[in-house]
Amino acid sequence: MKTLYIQSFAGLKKYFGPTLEINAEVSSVGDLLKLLCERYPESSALLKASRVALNDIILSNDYNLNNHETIALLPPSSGG
Amino acid sequence: MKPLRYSPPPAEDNKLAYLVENDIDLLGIMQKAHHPKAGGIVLFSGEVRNHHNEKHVTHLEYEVYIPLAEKMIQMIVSDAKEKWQLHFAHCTHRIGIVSICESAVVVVTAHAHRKEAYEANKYIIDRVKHEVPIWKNEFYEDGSSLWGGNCHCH
Repeated sequence: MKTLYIQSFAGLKKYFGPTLEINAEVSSVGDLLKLLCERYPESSALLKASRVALNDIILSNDYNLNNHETIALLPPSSGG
Repeated sequence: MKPLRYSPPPAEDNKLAYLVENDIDLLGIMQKAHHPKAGGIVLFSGEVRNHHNEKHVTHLEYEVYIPLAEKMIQMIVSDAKEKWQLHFAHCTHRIGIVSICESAVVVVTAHAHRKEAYEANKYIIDRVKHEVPIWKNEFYEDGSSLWGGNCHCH
């Protein structure tokens, strides 16, 4: 069981709030995204288009998550 | 979990910021862009307009993922400098509330020739808009708001 802290931005905050603590049996980023889509099905379209970051690194879906990591969910950019 | 707060890095001589909370210093950036070998300097200012999709816009609010945003803007500017051999290039983006007719983002590029300065400038703003984790929340006269998100390049 892992405890993960999810930080969301822009349109994703509607589904997860700015911060969300998750306690779940997940190994990878892919597992986490699948879990979030299952628990919050309305988020899935935007979530699937989003990047996932750990500090200043964009994570791939096969990154293995560590306990107590803070993961940022970054929807498609709309700067400028 | 504490919210991330933006703290500008300590001021250094000649160091221009990539992200600012207050008005972008367009003149300050231009002053640094002058170069004896640069015959063309291009300044792009992305400004807040008062309409979008037939709705009256009152202001925008920009949110940013700080750990990546500065690093990515810096990388994009650096890529442009190398690709076009620019004498100067910089991009500054506002965060927080930006009002109508204010600059939300500025890109300045300098090259011996205007063709390259224009091309590089467009390259930088296009990449910043598509890649950098910054989001605009658009507020309308009727009190509603809508997050942007027209970029689906990734």
